[in-house]
Amino acid sequence: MKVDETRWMAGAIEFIALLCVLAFAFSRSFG
Amino acid sequence: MSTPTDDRAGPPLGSPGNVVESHTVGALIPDHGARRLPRTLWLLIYGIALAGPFVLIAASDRGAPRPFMFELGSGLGIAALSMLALQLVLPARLPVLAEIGAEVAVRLHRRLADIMLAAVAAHVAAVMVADPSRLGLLAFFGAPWRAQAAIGSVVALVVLMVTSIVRRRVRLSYRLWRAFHLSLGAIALVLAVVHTIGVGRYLATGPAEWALVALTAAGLGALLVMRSRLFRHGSLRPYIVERVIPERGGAVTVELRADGHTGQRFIPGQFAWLKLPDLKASLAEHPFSYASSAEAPGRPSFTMKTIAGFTARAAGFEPGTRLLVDGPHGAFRPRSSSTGTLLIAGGIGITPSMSILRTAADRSDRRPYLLLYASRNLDGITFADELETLKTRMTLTVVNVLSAPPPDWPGERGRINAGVLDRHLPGDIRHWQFLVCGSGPFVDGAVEALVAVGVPGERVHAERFVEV
Repeated sequence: MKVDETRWMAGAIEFIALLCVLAFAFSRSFG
Repeated sequence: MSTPTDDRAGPPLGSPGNVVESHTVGALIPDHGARRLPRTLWLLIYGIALAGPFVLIAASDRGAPRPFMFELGSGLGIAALSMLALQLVLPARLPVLAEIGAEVAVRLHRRLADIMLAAVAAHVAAVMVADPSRLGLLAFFGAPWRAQAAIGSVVALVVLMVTSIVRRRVRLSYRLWRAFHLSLGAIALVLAVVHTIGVGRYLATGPAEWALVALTAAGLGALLVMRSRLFRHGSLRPYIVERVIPERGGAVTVELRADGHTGQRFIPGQFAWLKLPDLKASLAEHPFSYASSAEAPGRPSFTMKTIAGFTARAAGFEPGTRLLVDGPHGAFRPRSSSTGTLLIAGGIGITPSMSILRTAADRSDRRPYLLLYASRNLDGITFADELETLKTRMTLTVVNVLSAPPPDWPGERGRINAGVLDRHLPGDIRHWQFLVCGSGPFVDGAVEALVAVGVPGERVHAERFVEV
């Protein structure tokens, strides 16, 4: 069992970035 | 280190005996929930920095809408730029980041590098898919300056990442690599900003301009902080080499004396960056665990295995040599609420354990300490004699585990595994703490063994030393 806490931190950041990008692209194109 | 991610160099790295990364295995236990908050808070700040430009764009005049793929490309570019700027901030050892720990910041920096590069690649791909005629811009020569800046930025990023991955294989020195890494990081950010201004869309108009200015200032400002001593007066102090003592196992101890101050107080288990004050070596910084007792902050000592570079030079330090110490750093520290401590050390990974034990002895700590200490052979047991002395001053049991023992060795042999733990762990370890320190593979093996004998992962704190 090897759990590195930076893994979930990086995952959370990736999620936020993806959310921002998709929300931006959808709202600009279809909003 | 075993994985490509771990092989990738990132600041800060150092020599054997150097703390490079530490992490807590598993979730943090509830009674230490306070330590979890700064990470969450820090994530929140990062999230705001990432989402901020998008919010400001929403408040700007954004022109006519374009097809989805165009907007997706722009969005990815904005996110990639923000992440690039924040990449420069992460390893800057800013006081505000101290709570998450320098080594956690560096690990995160390495992990996010992949995500940032993926965002850059996706940005380029989306832009090309949206308008394939733009493929011609990749020719560089004859392309508009905004495209040239973009290509330059991507090339800088790719070179930066490749040099980090192959650094040890091609024996690029830490000092040279670091200078290279910082310069390429700055170039990549500046060119990305130039590209953004050249494109002249979202981040180059209206209130969102402030986001571009803030990101650029944060990234370049962090680089300045990293390179400048002016900003580091708070933690940088002069010391004088008192003496250099040869130790068993090809190690030396450098004993220092605070020069003109009372010494920086540290917690046993933490580390500091040692630096030669001369200009030529101003880029050469080396992280080492404090090996001495925290009760004597004015006379810290650092023990290192002498291999090459700084450590080889350190072995020849004359008494009176001046050194600058930037510390303390690191979150590898004993918990006062525990009823006992198991220290597992591999080779030169003994240094933080020595600091913990010496401090406990000086403080007349009556709680039991068990040290499982892996060495190659009897001659390789650094601090063997002092550990015997410490046993008379505190409740300390030392179990030496030798991987290449003499035939008549009566003790443990091989590796530290579940069997060794079963034989030596006391019955009641519910409120014990477990600290592991050594090379990456050693730490992995020890943590696996601890988990196999039922130690909850959240009670294990692991510290990895990396050889450079």
